Amino acid sequence: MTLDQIAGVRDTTEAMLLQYRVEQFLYREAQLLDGWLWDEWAELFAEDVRYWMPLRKNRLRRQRTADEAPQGIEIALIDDDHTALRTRVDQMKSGQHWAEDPPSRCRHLVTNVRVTPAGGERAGDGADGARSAGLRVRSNFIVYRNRLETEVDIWAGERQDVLRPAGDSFRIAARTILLDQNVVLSKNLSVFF
Amino acid sequence: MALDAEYLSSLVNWKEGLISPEIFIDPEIYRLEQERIFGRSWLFLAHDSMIPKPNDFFATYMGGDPVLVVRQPDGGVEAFLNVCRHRGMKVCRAESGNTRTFMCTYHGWTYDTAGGLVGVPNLDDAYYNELSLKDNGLVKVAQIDSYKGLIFGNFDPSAPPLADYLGDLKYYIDGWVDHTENGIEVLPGVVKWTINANWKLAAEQFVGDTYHAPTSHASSLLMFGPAFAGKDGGHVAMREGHGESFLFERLTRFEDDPLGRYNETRSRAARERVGDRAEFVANFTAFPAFSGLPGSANIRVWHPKGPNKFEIWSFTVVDKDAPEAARRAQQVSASFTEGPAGVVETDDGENWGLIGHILEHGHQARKMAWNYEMGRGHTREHEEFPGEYGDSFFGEDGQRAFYRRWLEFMISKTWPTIPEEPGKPGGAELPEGSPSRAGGVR
Repeated sequence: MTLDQIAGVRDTTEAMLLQYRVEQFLYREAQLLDGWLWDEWAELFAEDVRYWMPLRKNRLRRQRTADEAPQGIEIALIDDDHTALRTRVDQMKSGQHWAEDPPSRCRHLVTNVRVTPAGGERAGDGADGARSAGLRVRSNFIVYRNRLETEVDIWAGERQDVLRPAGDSFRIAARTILLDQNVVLSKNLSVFF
Repeated sequence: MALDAEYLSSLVNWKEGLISPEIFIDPEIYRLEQERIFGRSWLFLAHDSMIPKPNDFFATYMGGDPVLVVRQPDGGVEAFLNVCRHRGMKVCRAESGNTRTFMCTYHGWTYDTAGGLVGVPNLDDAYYNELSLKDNGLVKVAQIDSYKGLIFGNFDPSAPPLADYLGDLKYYIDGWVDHTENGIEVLPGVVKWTINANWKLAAEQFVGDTYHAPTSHASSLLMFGPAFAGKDGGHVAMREGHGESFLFERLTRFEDDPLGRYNETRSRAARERVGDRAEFVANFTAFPAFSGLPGSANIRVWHPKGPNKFEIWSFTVVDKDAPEAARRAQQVSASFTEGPAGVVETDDGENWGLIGHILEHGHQARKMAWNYEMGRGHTREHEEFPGEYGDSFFGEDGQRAFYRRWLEFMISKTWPTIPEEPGKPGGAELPEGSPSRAGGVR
């Protein structure tokens, strides 16, 4: 089996092009967030999106399950549909959301982008059948936040996205955010990931 | 400065509503709180539904101390320090689960789920079988008790029973844990996050500070919250240091409620069972660090992590007999509004964190007494609502009662029983003519 067959693409050039497009999409998203262009950012998401940040747990090793994300009903740090996401964006712009007014300075660093064509590896439980007709993309992130005078938060984690082709770009059809913290080590999570 | 009754009383003039912020930042006061507040109060450990099966455990804290709460094979609950008797290492680092034994990973001492020491490596050849297993079990929490599924622990064997301790607050707790025949349960997932401020800032907010909501939560109230004024609700302060403030009418955050019919039926049944309290949109604190948001189905513990740091642990409750769709809706709603990313909650962290920062660095700011005089002298008895009732959604009677009780715990060497005579402090150690009576916060 050739490398291209394993990667599920016709040839390396096509795989590189796909990788390039996905990366550019994610970089542009980061730029929108860091530039406080939340309306434009929200438009990147499909109407049926689930934007989900489950809890991370410390469990007995033998009671760990393969998936970090729970299957059943469990309180999450964030579990938004598109309407909820838009409400958050409206709150950002309200002029009375004191946690973000003055707004935080953020730097979203996106790395380790791994693209799997549709029908490949499972990307996470945020991606159900309706959203599966897309690319499964995993990426790592570090978000640096500097707020007011000296407040600093650094969040690292993994995003598991389902990207649905839309014109010559994508819409985010599902996003699972695995924040690498058990107790959240900050006073709030008032920025987007 | 010696932390004697005179000094502590000079910081907390609860009568006039003047409190020195030293109590939120002084490390010595924090250490004394660990002994006298967290060492003697009834502290929330877990809800029954979180540890349903034999050998289920939940790892929590009582004050600064790590504690394991474990369902026993006979259905009872034990709680003990999560600290090995040999060298003080944690015997369990998982936050919850099911196990038959807890093994310390330092030297291998092993305990059963009742806290008994059952395994010691090299007991025969290193200890010559002279080590008493019986005398080296995990340190037990002196008292465990529960109220309608809410399990509390107390390190003080002389503390009064939980039901007495909760006092009038039971009436309000019943409004949301006992409004259906089958009671409530806690949904999976405890949300935990960190605030760089003193734990009392959160406890006092929930005891009765609804006054912050129209300003602090302006953005979320604007979008989907109820508009309200002071006269839309009431508040109560309790001699035991507890308090609650409430809106009379439930105002749903979501107009297009997908559970319309279910909520309607449930609401009617709840009203029949417990009356108006079933509908309260409210906040309360049970002294010292257990709080809740009836109406938002949320309960809280404020775990102290130092004078200027605490963790919020947030639990979401649903009716035990709620259908799947209602459970899911409650989960989504709680995740959206409460917690570190909650559209309501995020603005609280901003206030608490900045106050903590000011107290950490400021000197003049620490000398300025904070003002708690709102509504002083305007409470009365209410025919329906137990406690000192104030006829407004806003009022600081709860805060004054909270700090009165705080002071009593802090200055009393014995468990501070509430005296019959209303003017006397519990523990009765406060000297005559002390600054607190004269009203002398700096």
